Amino acid sequence: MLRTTNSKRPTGIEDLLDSELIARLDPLDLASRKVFAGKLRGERRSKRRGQSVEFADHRPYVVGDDLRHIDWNIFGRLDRLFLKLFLEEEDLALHVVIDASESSDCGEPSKFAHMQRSAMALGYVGLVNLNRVACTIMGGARGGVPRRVEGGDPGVADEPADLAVGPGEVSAVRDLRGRRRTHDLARFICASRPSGPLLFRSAAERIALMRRGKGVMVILSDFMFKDGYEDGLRLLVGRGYDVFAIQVLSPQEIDPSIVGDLRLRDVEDGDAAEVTVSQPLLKRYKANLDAYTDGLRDYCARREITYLRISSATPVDTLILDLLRRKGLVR
Amino acid sequence: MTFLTPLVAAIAAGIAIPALVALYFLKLRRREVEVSTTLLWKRAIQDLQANAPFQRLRRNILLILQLAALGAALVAVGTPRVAGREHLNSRHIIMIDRSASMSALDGDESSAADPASPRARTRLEVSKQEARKLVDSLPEAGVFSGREGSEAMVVVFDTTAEVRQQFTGDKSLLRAAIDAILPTDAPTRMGEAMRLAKAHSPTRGTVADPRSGELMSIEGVEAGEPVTVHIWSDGKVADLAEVKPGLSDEVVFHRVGRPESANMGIVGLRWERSYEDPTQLSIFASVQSTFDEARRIDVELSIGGQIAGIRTLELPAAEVRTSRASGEGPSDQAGVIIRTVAPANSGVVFQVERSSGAIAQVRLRATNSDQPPAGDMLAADNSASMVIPPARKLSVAAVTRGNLFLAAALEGLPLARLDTRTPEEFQRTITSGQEVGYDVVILDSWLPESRTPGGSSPSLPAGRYLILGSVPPDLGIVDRGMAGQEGATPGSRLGGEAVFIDWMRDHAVLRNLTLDPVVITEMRMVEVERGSGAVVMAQTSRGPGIIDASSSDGQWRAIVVPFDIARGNWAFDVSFVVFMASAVEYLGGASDSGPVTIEAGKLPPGMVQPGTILSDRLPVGARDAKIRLPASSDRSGPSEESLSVAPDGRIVYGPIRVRGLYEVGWTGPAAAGDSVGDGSSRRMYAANLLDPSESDIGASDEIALASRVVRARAGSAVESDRPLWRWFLLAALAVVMLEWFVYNRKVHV
Repeated sequence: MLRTTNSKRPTGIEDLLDSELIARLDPLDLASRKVFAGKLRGERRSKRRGQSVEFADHRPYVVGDDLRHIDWNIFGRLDRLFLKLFLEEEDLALHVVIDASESSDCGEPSKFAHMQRSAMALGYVGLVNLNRVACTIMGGARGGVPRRVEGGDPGVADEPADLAVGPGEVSAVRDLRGRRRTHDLARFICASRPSGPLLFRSAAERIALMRRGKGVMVILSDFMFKDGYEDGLRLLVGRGYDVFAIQVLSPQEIDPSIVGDLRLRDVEDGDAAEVTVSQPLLKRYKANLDAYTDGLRDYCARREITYLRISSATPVDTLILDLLRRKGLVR
Repeated sequence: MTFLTPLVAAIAAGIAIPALVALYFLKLRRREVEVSTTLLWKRAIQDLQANAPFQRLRRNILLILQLAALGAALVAVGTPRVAGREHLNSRHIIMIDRSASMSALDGDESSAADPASPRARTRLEVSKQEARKLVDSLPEAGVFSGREGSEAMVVVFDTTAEVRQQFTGDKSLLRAAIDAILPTDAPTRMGEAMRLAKAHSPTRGTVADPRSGELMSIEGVEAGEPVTVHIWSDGKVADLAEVKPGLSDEVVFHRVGRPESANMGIVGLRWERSYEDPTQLSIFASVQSTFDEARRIDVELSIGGQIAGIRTLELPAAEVRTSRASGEGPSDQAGVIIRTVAPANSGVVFQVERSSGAIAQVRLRATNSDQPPAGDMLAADNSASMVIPPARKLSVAAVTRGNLFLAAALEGLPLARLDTRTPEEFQRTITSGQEVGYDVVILDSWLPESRTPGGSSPSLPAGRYLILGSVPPDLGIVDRGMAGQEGATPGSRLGGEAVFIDWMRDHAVLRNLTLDPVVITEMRMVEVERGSGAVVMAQTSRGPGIIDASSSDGQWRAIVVPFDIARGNWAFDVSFVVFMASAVEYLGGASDSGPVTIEAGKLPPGMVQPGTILSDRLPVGARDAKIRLPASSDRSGPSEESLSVAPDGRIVYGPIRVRGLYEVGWTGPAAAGDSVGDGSSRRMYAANLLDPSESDIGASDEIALASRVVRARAGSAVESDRPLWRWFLLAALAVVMLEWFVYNRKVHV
């Protein structure tokens, strides 16, 4: 709840992932409840018939088909031309979205740092399994990015140091693939820091317009949006993505330990609330928090969004290896 | 309820209440805390406000409570009080009677009927309680008001009076002084108390000269602020006519006790040994009753703790008269019925055969019961004790050359020994330095020669002397020679004849004598030196006729009859025989050195009255004297006090407070009649009330002072003027505590 006092921010992959965690992440692969059509050949079975070794079906030959795929054994037996169809093995698109509004920079441990590490860990799992990985940061500000992201992808351009991203804007890195791009992802994640408010709806709109194809989308946020999370989530889920909504709350938000006559100031919009902290008030706050998260969970369930609420004190390996494995994001 | 300082409270209220309200409207200074979002908090506050009933009232209840607390504190600043009686003067003198009658058990008018009831309280207890009420009701100096508080002074009196507390406004001192008052068994005199009370006001006043306007002081006028004199008493005061309050002073008489209370008590006690047979002891007790019906009681005599006799005594009914008060006082008291009681008296005589000394006690009790008489309100006069010396016959030496009258007069006396000695024999005894060996020596027209040639030491050895027809040189009596002789004082009448013109009729020696017929044909004229201590017992037409002289160190004592008894008709008169007998008895008895009591001179030796001073002379050489006080359960403090012995053996103790037996013990020689044991000597004194007016305990409704008659204030209870500011301050504290509780409930529950 309170602004993070320890302002040390991660600067590279070694701050985001330690070697022990890497060792535990290596055997993991991403999974999706849906099988999507990939864009590049990958290690994943695709809906499309493709050129893998795995047989899928036969179909009658029509003119123009590739003669190499004709099943000559059947032709010999039946004297009819059938085409042999194979399952295509394709890659999976992983899209990690981080909420970089100023409210993320609260809590002890910091919610944003936790989101950064979680995003890095998921991105790493995706990269090492040859999936397409994209990362989008909603709002916040960009610190100086040392060099252009390799690969010439237009998603990320060189930006001046501490360039504020508008409340409804996003910055993104896209189409990262392969273990080599781990550092690029890490650099992108580290270059961001939370700042300013966030208009979730317009940010979600941009993400929805920006993304291509289908895949898995993991949204890391506290989902404390004054204008509501419903529109944004609807936009994100509308394009057939398998959406995971991970709500990261700080321990101070879950169980506030403040006392006295206070003036609570919202870090994002400066809005103030005068409270005299009392037991009934705290009780009421917790009830409201539970109601809020329950409402979010219900909303997610209705739209096939996988919802997960964690504390920023939850270790990243617990999140990935235990909670997300149970939810079916990794296997 | 009235306020002493309403203006101060109003000013304080005018400042404090708006300040409080203004403070309340100021915003609470809150600590600022940054939170990730105020979304949930705002909802929580809204929920809480929506759910809490009377939210606005709850918000304001703190203000209401604070205003209530402030209001109570402001009322306390105003010094509120419940208006009691408005006191006229700001200076009060509290005079409390602690005499014997104030121990009567009818203090509470409500529960007064039965003195045996455990709830019965003495008049003194009630007086103290009411005096405390008065002290509580005195206005105090307000903290914020300019007016001064009342002051009071505590005077306690019985026979004597004492200032227990000088004028002060400190109520705790006054209460302590009142609480410390203990009852005594002494009779009541108020004159000294009133003099003490009046001593506060200066006798010098300042007045403005009407012509010049200058201030001048005048001696002898009553000046100073007038005071209110509060008297708590039962009104049975012996010397009311001597009580003169200041002219401008207000006198308030708080009567305690009931007018119809009745009592019986011993008012007189006397013993006498038979003249013929001193072992025959008669004890007379006089009993007084104020009951309006005839009563029969037992009078018990115990000697040395053993019951020696019980007599049943019929006491007639006292005569009770009621009269309507004259319309002199305030109009509302004009019709008060005044009750006067003429007490009934009766007496009882015990005949006992006892030669040794004894301590006798006479006690009144109900017939055939060990209880005090029924309905008797005062215990102090139900018993009396006395110290009876052992029977003793005197040994007398008559030093004479032969005197027919003397021999005839002495012959009939019941003496242990009567020796007739010639002057030469007696002179030899003195010169040889032997002790005289007689109780009384009668020197008939002869004086021994001085033992030393210079004549500086007394010519007479220590002893008791009846000196007839000569004048010893060193007794403070100057011999002027025989009337009509040569060398007589110039201007003295010649002729020599003299008659008695006056004598001390209450002197033990002359008590029953009539000296009118006595004619002295040749008078020896003497003069008594001023300050010599010699007392003229009988005055003749030519100067002192009988002189009682004693040396200042008490070594010897003499009754001097300067003229020759043979020259005149006294020797033929019966009064001479009686005189001789009384003188011998007096001188012999005087060797017992019975106590000399002040004011109560009529008491027999060995008896004193509470309220007086015990003053006696111990034998020369006595030291380490101590007086043991009577054992009394309700009297704390030392039961033994040491006395300082003057060089001549005189001891003084007192004033005596309670009745009972006082024992003076000392180391050193014992006089005749003193008991000796364990190397120390002891002498007993009995203190008894024996006061008819004190035993008549019916309370008076009015006291007739010298200058005015004061009626008892109707409903003797003092109307309290109670300050209330403490209660309001407590209420403010309570409200503040309640406010704190409410505030905490609001925050934490």
